[in-house]
Amino acid sequence: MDTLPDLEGWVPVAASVRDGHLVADLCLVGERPFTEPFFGDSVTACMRLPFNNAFRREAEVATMAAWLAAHPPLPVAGFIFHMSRCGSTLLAQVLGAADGNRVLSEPAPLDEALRGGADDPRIDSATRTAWLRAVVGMLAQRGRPTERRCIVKADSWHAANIAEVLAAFPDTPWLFVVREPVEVIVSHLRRPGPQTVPGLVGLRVPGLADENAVTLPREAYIARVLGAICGAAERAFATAPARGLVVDYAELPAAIESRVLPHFGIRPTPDEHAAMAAALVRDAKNPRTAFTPDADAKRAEATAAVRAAADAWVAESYRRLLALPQARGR
Amino acid sequence: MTPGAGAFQCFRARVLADRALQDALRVPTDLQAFAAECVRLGADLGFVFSTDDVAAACTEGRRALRATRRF
Repeated sequence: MDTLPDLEGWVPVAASVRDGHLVADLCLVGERPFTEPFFGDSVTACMRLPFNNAFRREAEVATMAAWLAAHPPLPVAGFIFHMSRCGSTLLAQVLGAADGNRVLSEPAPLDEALRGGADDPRIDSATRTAWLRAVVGMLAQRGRPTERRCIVKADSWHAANIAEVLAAFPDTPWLFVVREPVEVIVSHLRRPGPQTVPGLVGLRVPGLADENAVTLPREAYIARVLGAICGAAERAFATAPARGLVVDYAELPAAIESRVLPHFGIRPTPDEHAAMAAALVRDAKNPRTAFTPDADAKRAEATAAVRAAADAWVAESYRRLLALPQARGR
Repeated sequence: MTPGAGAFQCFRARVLADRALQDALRVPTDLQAFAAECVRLGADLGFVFSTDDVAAACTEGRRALRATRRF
């Protein structure tokens, strides 16, 4: 291999699979923290600096792995999976308010490492594991000097890929955030997530052909997507019960302190406690505004069709998740 | 590729291998000042290109990132 480039502070902002190889698009982020609600927002902010448009660089997995072997990244304290619109962004924002935590919220390169080249037979489980370790490792490089650990929040549809994540990070705790399905469906009806638009993210809904998805009423398709996500999480808890935790929206924010931090092995300093408390009163997805509870409004807004779709496709899975031993302590 | 664009690519490779150059070029926050600094530092190293070549490289960088965004 040629001389290893100096990749300190170079973080993958995108990735793609070319001829069976994962290639990351790296940006010199340096000490800039990822404090925006989503990783994509942070990337957009980084691109306002002209340097980051003209001087990004590409790296293959072998190069990133060699760099990481010589320059170990922060330990990954935990992975956050979720059913979407369930308080997972609040959780990520509160954790990220502590300057010891480097929180990456739905980083696009993780999606490519998990799902890129899914139909390519050359990409076996060992390759996928190598991709994940390289991409997550580069994302987990220390930015601010205060950072002591990294926490990664996945996209909701990555519930189907929990096994791959756990194969790559066998000692890392993970959790799955859930919420009363009627409230989640109403949220997606108000503002559709990409996973609720048939075909957009390539999510497979068991028993539903892609061509039939577009003919379903919106609330029915959303419920089936949520059912697929929760069902995948159930299978993950069945096959890898250790190190998993179920967190319900209804127990937030108290559960951050009582269950999530201990599960991830995090003992915040007094200053970090104060910063996390301050983050709790802000709207997670729009931190400049105050958080307003909306569960009652969403339930009131739910039509009979929404309730029927929730009952038919996702409510049972939600209840089974809440009945798991990993949900106890709520 | 124009001679200026080619020279900028050579300068780009040099910058990616030089942390001091990277730090210097991360200072300007607006495109005009950044492009001027690239031209100045490039000339010091014997690479001759214009601010238009730098602007074109920035445009290409943005386009490449957008192309990888699926949703």
